[in-house]
Amino acid sequence: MQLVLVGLNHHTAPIEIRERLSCAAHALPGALAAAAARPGVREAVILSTCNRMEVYAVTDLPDAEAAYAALRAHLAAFHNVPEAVFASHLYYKTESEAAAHLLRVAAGLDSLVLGEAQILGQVRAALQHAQQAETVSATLNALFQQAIAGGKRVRSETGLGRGGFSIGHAAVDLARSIFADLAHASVLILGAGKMSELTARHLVSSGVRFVVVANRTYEKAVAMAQRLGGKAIHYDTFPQEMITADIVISSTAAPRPILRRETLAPILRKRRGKPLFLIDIAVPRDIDPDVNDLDNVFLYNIDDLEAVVAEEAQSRRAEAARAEAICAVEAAKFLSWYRAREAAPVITQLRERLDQIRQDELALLRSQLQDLSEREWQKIETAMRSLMNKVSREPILRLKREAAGESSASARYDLPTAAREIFGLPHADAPASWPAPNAAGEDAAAETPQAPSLPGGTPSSRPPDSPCERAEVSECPLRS
Amino acid sequence: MSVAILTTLAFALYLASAVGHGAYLFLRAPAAPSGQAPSGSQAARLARPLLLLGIAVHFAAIGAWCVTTHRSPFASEYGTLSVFAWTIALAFAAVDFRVRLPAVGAVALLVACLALAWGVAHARAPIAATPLLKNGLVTLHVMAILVSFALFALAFGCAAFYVLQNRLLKARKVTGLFRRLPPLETLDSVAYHSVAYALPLLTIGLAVGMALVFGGGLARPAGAWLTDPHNLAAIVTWFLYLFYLLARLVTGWRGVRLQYILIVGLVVTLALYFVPSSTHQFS
Repeated sequence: MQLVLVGLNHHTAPIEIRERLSCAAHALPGALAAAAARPGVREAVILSTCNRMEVYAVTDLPDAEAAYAALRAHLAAFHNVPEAVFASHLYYKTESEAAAHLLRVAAGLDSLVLGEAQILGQVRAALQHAQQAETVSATLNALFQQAIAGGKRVRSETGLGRGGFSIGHAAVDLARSIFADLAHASVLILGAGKMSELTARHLVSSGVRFVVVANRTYEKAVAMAQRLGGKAIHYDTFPQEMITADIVISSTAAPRPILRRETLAPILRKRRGKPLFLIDIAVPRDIDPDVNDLDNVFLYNIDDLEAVVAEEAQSRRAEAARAEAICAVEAAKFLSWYRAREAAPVITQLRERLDQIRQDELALLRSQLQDLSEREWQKIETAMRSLMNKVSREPILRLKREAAGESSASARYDLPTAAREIFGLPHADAPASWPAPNAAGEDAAAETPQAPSLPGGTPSSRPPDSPCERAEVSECPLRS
Repeated sequence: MSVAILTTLAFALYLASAVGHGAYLFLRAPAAPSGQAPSGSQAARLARPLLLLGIAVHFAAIGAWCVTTHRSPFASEYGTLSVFAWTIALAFAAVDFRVRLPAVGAVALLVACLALAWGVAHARAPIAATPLLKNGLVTLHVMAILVSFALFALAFGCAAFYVLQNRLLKARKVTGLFRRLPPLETLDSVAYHSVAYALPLLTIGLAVGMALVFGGGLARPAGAWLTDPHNLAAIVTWFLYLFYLLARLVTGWRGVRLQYILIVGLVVTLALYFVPSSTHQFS
């Protein structure tokens, strides 16, 4: 079984290709069923968003190329698009690369807008669709759950999930450093321009409820006020409005500043120390920079806001590195579980074999020792079970570690070394009574576990499945 | 458990809670522009229960000290500072249930730790044996003043953060960690409410003290009390905070200048504690 991913995204394919392969929610059950019905495909999950189309699958096909071909054929058949149209835009990943990719996708690291939050919900929805269509089983379920957990960690432990950061966002962030609750803050807009409306929209979507618009052309002020759900006033009355406003966005086309220190001072006296946040996005500037020296006035012009945006972009890059580290940890968790599953059939067989031996020995003993009480038999049975568990404990543990890639042993073993490894036996020299190869002749040499004269070089360099090695170990006196 | 173990445990819990509040500042994701709530780290989530546990354990430590010595906690420097630390922690916990102020919490709890450590350092100082300290009015006098001091300290913390945040905003340097400081309005509001509760308590404390002086309950003549610089500092403190409250309530003043009053206020309050008193010697 292997985990594979075939997909394309905004990095690899233009919108014309992406839209031809995209899969709407109502079509997903059919697409999932079609993918899972392909020969050799055991599990399938489809992640289809406006920026990506990815098919994750678990297959028991002989190799990755066969799996890729099956999924490519599914995409072509289901979307009725010739493979030649999209094949060059596809990317293919398998096993650890596929897992790491999904972790990065769920964290928003592979998104068009770095760290965008929507993708995590889309990953969750993809899994739910596959669960409903019954095309997902243990492996993809575990992978997607791990990806969702990783995505959540990235959002809670890094600042990556802040979404796009514009001048409007910077204004909202700064307003939040001044005002406890934007729902109680009022905004005065001077000049009904596009930039001021955009900035005001950010504030309104962040909770601001009171918006007043002043513009030299009153009709434009009325139109903007209607769009923002506020009220319009005549331009010459704005100083009066500034007494109660908390945030002022200024974006007029005035050639000289409309707000100076001396014009603002009487207004501030009436405000009695209430903080005033001035956002000057006009060029040339509407507000004299000296105004910032006044108590309780915080003036930010377009350059100041852009500096905040730039600082945010810088910190986002650092956050991305932290997010990558989290994704790597979460991917490793999944891969450890995934690889450990490969050892499961061997472990089950080993347990069954040992249990069979136990039952056989117990039956033999029962026939020989007939005068023991049931209580004594229970003790014997408990002891045998305990013995079985103790003998199998170390090999099972090592099998799991080896499968999970946690084993320190990297070389392939000859069987005696493997026996030492799986039973956790210490390395030791042969006992003194052990016959030396030269003293005992060729036959003895053949019986010695590490006989140097055997063909095929030293035991450690020989492939473990070599017939020679099997013969050698089957004759090993340690087995008797 | 002994007083020493309980006090040490309370100290450790306050410190852990202070670290937790600090971690909340450092580890939580900044507020998203979309308004989605930021989530804190595991350490930050533990800060509040650790604080509440610390307050309970500290209360037990003070109680155990009283039971062991058969004295009011105010009979020793250790007891007085211990109660002061406890009231700071309690005052912050009360505020914390209304509005989350991790930055203030980290600092306030460190101050509580400092006060407690100072008290422990003076634990071997002689315990006042005067029967005066068994007088309920004296206990009320000291307790009311200590709680008011704790609230003034909290107001000072908020004012200090206000001034810092104000300067950062003016200099356009609200970056990195500073973006996680509380908003100016919240700091102003918490400082105001702290003083609004503290001033009546200080008034009660001073009024009870005066009643004891002029009611003849104390051995020294009233003139000695009135000329004691310690008592004069108390009156200056009272007027200073009264001025702050009147400025806020009557004239509607707000803003950074008002915060300076709170900063000066704590300096005067500390002077009040440290100025040697000729009339508050009970040993």
